[in-house]
Amino acid sequence: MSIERRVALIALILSALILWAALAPLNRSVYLFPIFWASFMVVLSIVLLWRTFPANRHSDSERPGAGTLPMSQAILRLAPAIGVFVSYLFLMANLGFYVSAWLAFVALACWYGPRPVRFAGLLTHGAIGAVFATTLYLLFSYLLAVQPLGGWLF
Amino acid sequence: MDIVFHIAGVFEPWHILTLLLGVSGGLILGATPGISPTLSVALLIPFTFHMGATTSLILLGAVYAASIAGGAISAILINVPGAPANIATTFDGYPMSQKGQSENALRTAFTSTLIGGVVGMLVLIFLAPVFVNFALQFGPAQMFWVAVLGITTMATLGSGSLLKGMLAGAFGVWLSTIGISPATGESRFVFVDALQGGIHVVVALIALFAIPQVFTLLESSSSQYAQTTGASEAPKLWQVIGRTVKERTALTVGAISGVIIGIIPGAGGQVASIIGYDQTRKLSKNNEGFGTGDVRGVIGSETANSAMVGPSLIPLLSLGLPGSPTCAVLLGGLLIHGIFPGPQLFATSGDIIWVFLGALLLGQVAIFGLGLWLARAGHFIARVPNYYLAAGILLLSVVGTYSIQHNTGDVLIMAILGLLMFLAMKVGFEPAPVVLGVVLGPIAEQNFQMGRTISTALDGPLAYFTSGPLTLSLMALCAASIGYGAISQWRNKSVVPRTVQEGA
Repeated sequence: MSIERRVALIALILSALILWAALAPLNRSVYLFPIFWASFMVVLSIVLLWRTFPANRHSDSERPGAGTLPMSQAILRLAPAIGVFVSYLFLMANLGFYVSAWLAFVALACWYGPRPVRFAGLLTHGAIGAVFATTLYLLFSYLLAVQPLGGWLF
Repeated sequence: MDIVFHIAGVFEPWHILTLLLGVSGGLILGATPGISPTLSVALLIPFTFHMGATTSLILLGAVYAASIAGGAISAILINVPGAPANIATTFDGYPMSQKGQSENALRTAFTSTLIGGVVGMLVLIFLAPVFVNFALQFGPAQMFWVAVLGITTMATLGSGSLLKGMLAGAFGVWLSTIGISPATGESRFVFVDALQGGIHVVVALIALFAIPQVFTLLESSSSQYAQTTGASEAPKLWQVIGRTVKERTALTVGAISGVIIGIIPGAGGQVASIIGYDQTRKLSKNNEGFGTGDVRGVIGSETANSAMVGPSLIPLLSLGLPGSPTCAVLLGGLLIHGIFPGPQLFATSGDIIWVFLGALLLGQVAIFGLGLWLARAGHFIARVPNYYLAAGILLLSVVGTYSIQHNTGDVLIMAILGLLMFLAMKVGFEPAPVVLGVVLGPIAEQNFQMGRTISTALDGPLAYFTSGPLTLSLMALCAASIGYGAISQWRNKSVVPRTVQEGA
């Protein structure tokens, strides 16, 4: 199955679920506006699916997708970044925003920066990350008087 | 006289300081490839959450205008436009740089930006009140259709695929309905506790623009920097200004193109820049040198994209109709500060809006001065590796999202929505229509509900929402924008679509 047809199918399933979630409750007046848009989404998804069949291909000029890699390669390349992102969100609750932010910065720079990571490179990443985290700390804690999640050190 | 008094408010020290800060930040962000004006403004909104409305607007407006101007730095130095609005600047700016005339090109670019920017801002200052008076005729039915028009315009003009653009816009409207219903106060689509208060517009803005950019940056290699050839002796600034002012054709064509394109919703800086460049080339004598380092190419492109900024705010301020993704983000910024664009804008928020407009005008001078100064560090700014940029954007996104409501649920929503948007972008969807849906959805729904209530005393909802010359004109515009999108795609039929086939 082509990726376009898979996309259209996912869009149709999602739109149908949204429409079902809007139609299921008893109080229709609350859902009137979302029902209109969800129905519109279902119709558009059906047309999108219909157009993926060879006989119906007309002209739907596609803009190339974001980034430089196809989906499967992009997911493989970005898996560590997603891992760092998720770890960062979980660590934030324990280590606090600034320490976890610094760790996330260094981890991303090490993984996606020049390889192999040498000690000098690690120090550079650490120093730049520390300057960035400190700037955020000063900006939020003093200038904007906003206190992000606290933890060790801060 | 009141207007002059309000505009003079921009000269308060705090406002001047904010303006300079915004212009400097905007220039740096604009010169950094990978950070678009839309992303710059979206990342900034959480910071403005804790500021006064006037200061916030000055900061956002300054960053918007300066980031487009700053994009010329990387366009000229490394052939990578900092913003889509600087694409045409690369055509002649980079060849000039390769010939060792980077200093000359940068000075010309900022002089053109100053002239185009002032023209654009004057058009904004004089035309915005006229458009606002026109908007006084708009009731709930018309405002509903204006919101729908905004979504369809962005879906059809700003997207590669008409169907996907409209689907994305409708999805954005649905996202905006999560949470409390404005009609009855009841909760809708609250599948998890984190969604109880709905999806905050700033959370959506960051998720849809910033997070996909983090992944896009990490996906590509380090940076696109390449050292150009050594610099020859640059002409003095006053010589560059004199030369630029003498290029009347390029300046006039660029300014007119920018103003017209700016007022048209959906067209944006990229179109302004390319049309400004193209028309300058066509209308100039001895135009064989265009594309090989002709200074008139830089003037045409930069005058057009800077002249576009002011007029692009006219439909936004008068009707609440954002003409570009950056304007959609700005609309979000206005709404979170309780400023509602539309017929009553100058009556209810005139003291803030006039200072904002005055600051944008003064900002053009600041962009010129600071731009020339910062351009010296252009090579350094443009050389920042992608992994540092991505890490920086990620941290700013998280702290910015958290700071809005001090809620980790918002950060999780931002992360999930951002990841989904990145995957959707991989298969040809774009964030701008979704953002328009999220921002304009509540406006459309409020006017839809008000219209329904009013219509019960009249001929019913269908007649109320589909009758009257103004309503019919707006409906026709919606149909025309969809029709235009369909026709332009039909005309692109010969272009073989790049469809990523996997597992076929």
